[in-house]
Amino acid sequence: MTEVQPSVDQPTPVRDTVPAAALGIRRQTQFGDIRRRFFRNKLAVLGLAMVGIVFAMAAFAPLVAPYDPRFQNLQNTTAKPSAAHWLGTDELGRDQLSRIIYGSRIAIVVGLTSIVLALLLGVILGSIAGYRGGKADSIVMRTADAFFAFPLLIGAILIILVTGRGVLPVILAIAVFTWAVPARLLRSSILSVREAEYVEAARSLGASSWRIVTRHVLPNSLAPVLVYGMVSVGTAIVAETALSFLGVGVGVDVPDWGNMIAAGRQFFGYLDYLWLYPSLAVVFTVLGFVFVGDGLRDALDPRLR
Amino acid sequence: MGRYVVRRLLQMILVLFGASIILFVSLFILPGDPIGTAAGERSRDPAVRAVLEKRYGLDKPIPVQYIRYVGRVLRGDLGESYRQRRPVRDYLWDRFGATAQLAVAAIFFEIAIGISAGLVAAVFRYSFWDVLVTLTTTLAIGIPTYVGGSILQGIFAQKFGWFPRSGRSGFSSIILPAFTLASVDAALVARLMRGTMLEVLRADYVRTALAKGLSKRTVILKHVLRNSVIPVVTYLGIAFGGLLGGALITEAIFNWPGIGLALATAISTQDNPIIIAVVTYGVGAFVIVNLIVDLTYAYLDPRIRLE
Repeated sequence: MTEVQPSVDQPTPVRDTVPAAALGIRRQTQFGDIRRRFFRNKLAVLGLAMVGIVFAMAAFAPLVAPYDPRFQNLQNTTAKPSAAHWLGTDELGRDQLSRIIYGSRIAIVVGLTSIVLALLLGVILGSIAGYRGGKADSIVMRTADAFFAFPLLIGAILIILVTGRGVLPVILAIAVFTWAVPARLLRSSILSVREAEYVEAARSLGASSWRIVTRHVLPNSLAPVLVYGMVSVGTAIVAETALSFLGVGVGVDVPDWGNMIAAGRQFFGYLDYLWLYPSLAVVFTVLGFVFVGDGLRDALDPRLR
Repeated sequence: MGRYVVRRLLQMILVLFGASIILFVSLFILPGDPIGTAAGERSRDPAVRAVLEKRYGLDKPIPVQYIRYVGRVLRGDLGESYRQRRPVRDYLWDRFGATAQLAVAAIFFEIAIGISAGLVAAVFRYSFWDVLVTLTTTLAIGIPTYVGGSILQGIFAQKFGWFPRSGRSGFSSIILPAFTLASVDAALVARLMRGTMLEVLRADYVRTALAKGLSKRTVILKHVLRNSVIPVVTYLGIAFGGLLGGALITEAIFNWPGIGLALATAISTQDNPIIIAVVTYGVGAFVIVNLIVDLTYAYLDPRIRLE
């Protein structure tokens, strides 16, 4: 989230003035304000902690997990939670806790990369559409409309049907049917920024289009896109697990929450812990991202609250 | 209004054209050898291949194939199911009733729960009820459908036995799937309702109405509610379009025999014609309902047409 860092509303300090710190003045940057507002929001901090836990789980999975998530013990299948297997074992005798811990890797990797990809695509195409206008605008936006007509899950199924299952296809499928929203958001906020006086000033100083867009327009119009991105990491994780749940996800041999829930549902009504614990992992992660996203939105624009 | 309708119709055709290109390209590069499937061993013979390609029009240039594909879709010819051994159209038509029924029930929940929760939260802002609504809506948005549905199923069908666990058998069987399906949208409606109502409550005409001595109750019911319900209605309309496209996860969990379940089954049996047909149909339903919503909205609020 460091992209919002430069304090865009502040005039760039002229070199030969005395640094503010030397005068004993605490400089108040826009970023500082945003950070302060964010950390004052208890729910946002809670969300950050939740996301942090999931990240730590994913990063240190081999250290934290008590067993190899793929190790099958056919002597000890569908065991109830016990001291040896805190969350029990599945129908192939694999340790559920270890599979949940390793499952965080897939969730995080798919959630983050698909959204980063979608945002990149959306930002590039959206800024071309918004800044250039005219023909480029209509081509990009009509393409966005066409992709927008597909519900995320339905579109993703279509892509995976073509490419086959796997981690990469799932990432691509989610990104391809997500970029249209950030592209629209960015385009409309660029349209409102484009005619601002500071952009006009930069243009009259002879700045190139590239410089104007990257230095002046984007920093002032990225906020809604970033908020959208934060919340959609949660949406992407839900989509990823839902695809696995339907059998068109990352592949059955991968320790993945959606796979675990789908397999566990066969024991619905008598071995409910098999689907309940991985479900809780999904809910925990998604809520974490939703809290952070909501907190970020309120911090970036307190009027929206 | 006439010009606006024409412009929106043209836009819709453009969107459908784009979506059909995405679909056609996917069909075209879908793995599998249709000729090989149809002719079996004989397909190795180039002469047999050529005859079959000619018969199915696969020797034509790609644009011609595209136009034929669009023509088939417009005539409602969606191919034949591999597994069901009958036209996809008939198979899906049988299932449409169940999906439509579920969609109507879900919209009912969304209206009843979403609007009343949003109303209470806005009128009693910062009260216990407001906090409760905010928390519940956040949870509803954060919990994936398949988790929420499973939990509802586990508690109310498995444990208490108040509702049937799955299937479509009478009135009580629709409650759980409809509620599951409605939960996310109801939460979003509640938030939207709360937001717009808070805005309307600040409007000058509300202050005027209060100043001339109307009771708060009358002002809210007569002035505020009417004006804050417009964006909610738009949202519900768009949501209904999505619902008519079939509820994939909900129908799969509750074994509700609609279009979504048909898609879920087709995925596990790799019945590609059905998958493609459901996707085509879902996109069509979404786009057309969107158009109807926009036109209604423009009819109600003339400012929209000028944009």
